[in-house]
Amino acid sequence: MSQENENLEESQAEEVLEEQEQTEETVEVDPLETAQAEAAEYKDKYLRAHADFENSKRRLEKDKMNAVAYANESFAKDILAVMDSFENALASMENSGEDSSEVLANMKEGVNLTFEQLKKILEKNSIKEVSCEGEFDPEVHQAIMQVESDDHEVGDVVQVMQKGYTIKDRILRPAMVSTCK
Amino acid sequence: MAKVLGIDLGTTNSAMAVFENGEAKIIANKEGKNTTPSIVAFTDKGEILVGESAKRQAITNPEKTIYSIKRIMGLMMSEENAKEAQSKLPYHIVDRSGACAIEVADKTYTPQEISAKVLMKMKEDAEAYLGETITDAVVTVPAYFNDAQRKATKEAGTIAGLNVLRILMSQLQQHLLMVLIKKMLSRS
Repeated sequence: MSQENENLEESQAEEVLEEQEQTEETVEVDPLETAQAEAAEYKDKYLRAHADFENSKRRLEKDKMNAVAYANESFAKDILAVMDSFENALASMENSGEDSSEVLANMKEGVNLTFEQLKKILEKNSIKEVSCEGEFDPEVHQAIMQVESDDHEVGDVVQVMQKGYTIKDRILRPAMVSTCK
Repeated sequence: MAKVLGIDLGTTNSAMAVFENGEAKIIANKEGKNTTPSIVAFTDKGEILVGESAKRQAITNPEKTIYSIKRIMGLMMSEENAKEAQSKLPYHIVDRSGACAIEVADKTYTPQEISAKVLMKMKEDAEAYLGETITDAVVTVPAYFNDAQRKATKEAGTIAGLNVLRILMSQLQQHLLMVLIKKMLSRS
């Protein structure tokens, strides 16, 4: 019991002390000074936050420039394989014998393989050929002329002058086509 | 804080920008290009194409592909410029109570309504990019535009669902557009 009482007394005494301190504070502290101190603190915080913001903005800009500059790095690396193939082809032609028909046959095979290789690389990099079958689609086809045709419906693609390609969900180059009128 | 979209509504191409972190930033369209052809096409299937796709099919659909609409924006049929445009442009420019309008597949449209379709695409693409709804815009017009032409440009914005805060003369656009946007942002 006695300990409890003591505790009670102690806490009461503390409360009184706190009260006294509080009254002293309100007497001593000038509201203008508090406001000024607060303002200075906020200004400091603002300046720091602003500096942080400016720094991260600059860093983002730098990151972005780097990202743009090296965006094609992985694609470029893939393309190097095609470069190697062409160099090998040229070297093998130098070393091949006199039989021109054999050289031509080998070359044809080599070009075909390299073509397939390049196709795979484009596919891997989400570059796909635009389909030009059937109806003209202005989203992926560029009409450059209209022609008469008995074999096609009006508005269909008749001839493809240049193939088109998409990269991911965007058009890289529309296919140049003629349409049936 | 809602963003104000700055639109340069051009005769051939249009572009847009917003003020971001103290700088003007050009917004690319859905196709990833900084400019959008100011072309609207009405297809046989009843579709309306705007921008790049409208341009690609232009040759197959000359009477229903509307380009350079700005040339007759806010003009009366009696004006010299209107007559010249009528003789040069492949689509049908008709008289609608004295004012220039165009006729496509038996329907008439005002130049405002055509421009609104371009503005609407710009607005939608900007909204997709910014991830927020846009209601306010500043639109440029050439310095030689008279009051009727400016008013028509503003109407085009209204039809597109934009509250046009200012119509700006394009010679000053590079600098002033962004200053104005900044002012408006700080006010709202």
